[in-house]
Amino acid sequence: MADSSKGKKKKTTDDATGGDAPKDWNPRIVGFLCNWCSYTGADLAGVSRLQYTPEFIPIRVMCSGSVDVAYILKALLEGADGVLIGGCHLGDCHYLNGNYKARRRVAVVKEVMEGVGLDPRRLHLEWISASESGKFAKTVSTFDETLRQLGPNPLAKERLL
Amino acid sequence: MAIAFKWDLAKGEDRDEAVRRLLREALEKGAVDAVLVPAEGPARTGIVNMFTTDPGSLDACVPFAKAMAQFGPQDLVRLTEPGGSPIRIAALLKPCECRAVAELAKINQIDLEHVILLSPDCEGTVELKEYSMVADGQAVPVRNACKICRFHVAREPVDMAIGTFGVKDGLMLVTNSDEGQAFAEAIGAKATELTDARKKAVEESIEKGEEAYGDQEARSREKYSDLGTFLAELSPCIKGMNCQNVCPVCYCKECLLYTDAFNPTAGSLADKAKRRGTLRMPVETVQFHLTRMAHVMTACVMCGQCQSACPSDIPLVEMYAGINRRIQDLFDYEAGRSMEDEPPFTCFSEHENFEVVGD
Ligand code: SF4
Ligand code: FES
Repeated sequence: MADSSKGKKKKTTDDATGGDAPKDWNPRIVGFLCNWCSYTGADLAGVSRLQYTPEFIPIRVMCSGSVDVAYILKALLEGADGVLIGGCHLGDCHYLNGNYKARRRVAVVKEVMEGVGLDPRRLHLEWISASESGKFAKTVSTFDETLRQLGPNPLAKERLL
Repeated sequence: MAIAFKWDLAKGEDRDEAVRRLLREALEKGAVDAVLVPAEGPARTGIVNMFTTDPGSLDACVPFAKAMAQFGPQDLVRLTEPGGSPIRIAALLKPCECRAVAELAKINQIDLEHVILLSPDCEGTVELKEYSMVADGQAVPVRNACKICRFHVAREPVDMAIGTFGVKDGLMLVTNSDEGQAFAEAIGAKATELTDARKKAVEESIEKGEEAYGDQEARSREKYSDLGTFLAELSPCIKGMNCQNVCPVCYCKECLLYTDAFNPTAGSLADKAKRRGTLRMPVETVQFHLTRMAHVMTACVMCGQCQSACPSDIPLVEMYAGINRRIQDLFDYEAGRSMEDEPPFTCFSEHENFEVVGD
């Protein structure tokens, strides 16, 4: 079984297009948020009037483990600049281990992204509980910052995919 | 523990004929009821898989064929489906096909209980459409996948490797299981020692394969570090999905990519076109390829059947070489290596990390 020291490869792909970003461009982020934690955390962030980018599109899912790789890729192919997956902290998943499975999938998708020339930093996984509204807002803002550095998703300008 | 047996060539016999005789013995002595083997199709213009219970039909069988039929592992899915009365089958497949069989068996798509897997050492295969040239004795280069193949010799899940590498006279039957051993004894093979020459030849073939694979991996990493290359190479994709249909490890009965989510209706196509301005038709071509990569790469045995089936000659093997080993390495996994390793998407460990959280 893989241990934590294993399986880490340095990123080589950098699809940064930062240079060609239009002036009024703001990174668009699609967030797959677990109903039992991150989605509620996002809700609380709203109620608490925490600031984060308005270009964040939340999608409520029942568990981070229910997000098939196809949907992560679809979001990117539809032009999202980044994809955030928010799940329960390890040990807290409502379905016991969905987040462990999500972690494996994210690891695979990042390798696939890197292998075709998409920057794996466009995919971000975070454990955010229902009470962590601050962590939610901060995660989105930091991700937004990273995406600003990377620039627009190069797939967004390709029409014939 | 591997236990070796000897299978000598009778007078005037070549290796193919010796294996045909082995298979005939197996059927005649009742070691198995049927065999699934590669055979020359009519006019020797192609290799097909032959399923037969008749020792007399084995004349067409070409055990060491320099081409590989499609669908061998999938045939075993069908042949071992629950319901029918189980027959004992000896399946003779290439090492890469056998690795796919192991992957399918682990996820209960193939029931190996009544199957004996046999696999001759493989020197590589040419495209099926080039088989007649090989049959005529012409030299044809092997497929790309074979040039970077790491496992020309069958691995542990195979009951019996039919060894030629490092074997001077006749064949060495290397059994990896009790069933393989019983099969060898039933056909009257004589026990022998696994020679150093054999061990060395196998090691060398793996080393050579690793080197070739490593070189290709590096070239692929470099080549596809630019997204434009990947997209350009997919331009000629007709989305006929041959690559998926022939993929031995792609097994879902109902594929997500065939569901409505990825086959938009007229209304949602119009919406989508309005939003994006333009759509490639049929839609989701790149989506299809990326999803396939992520879905099957943990089980991919790099047999290259996808590329061989592609009418547009899309270099899928090259694309996959850049990520195949890297992805399997994440999980200390190697498709088809052992029946013991759990497929990565069916398990997890609390202690793993991959450094992908908050990254
Ligand atoms: S990939 Fe390897 S095992 Fe498969 S046909 Fe080619 S050389 Fe033989
Ligand atoms: S229920 Fe929240 S990650 Fe599984």
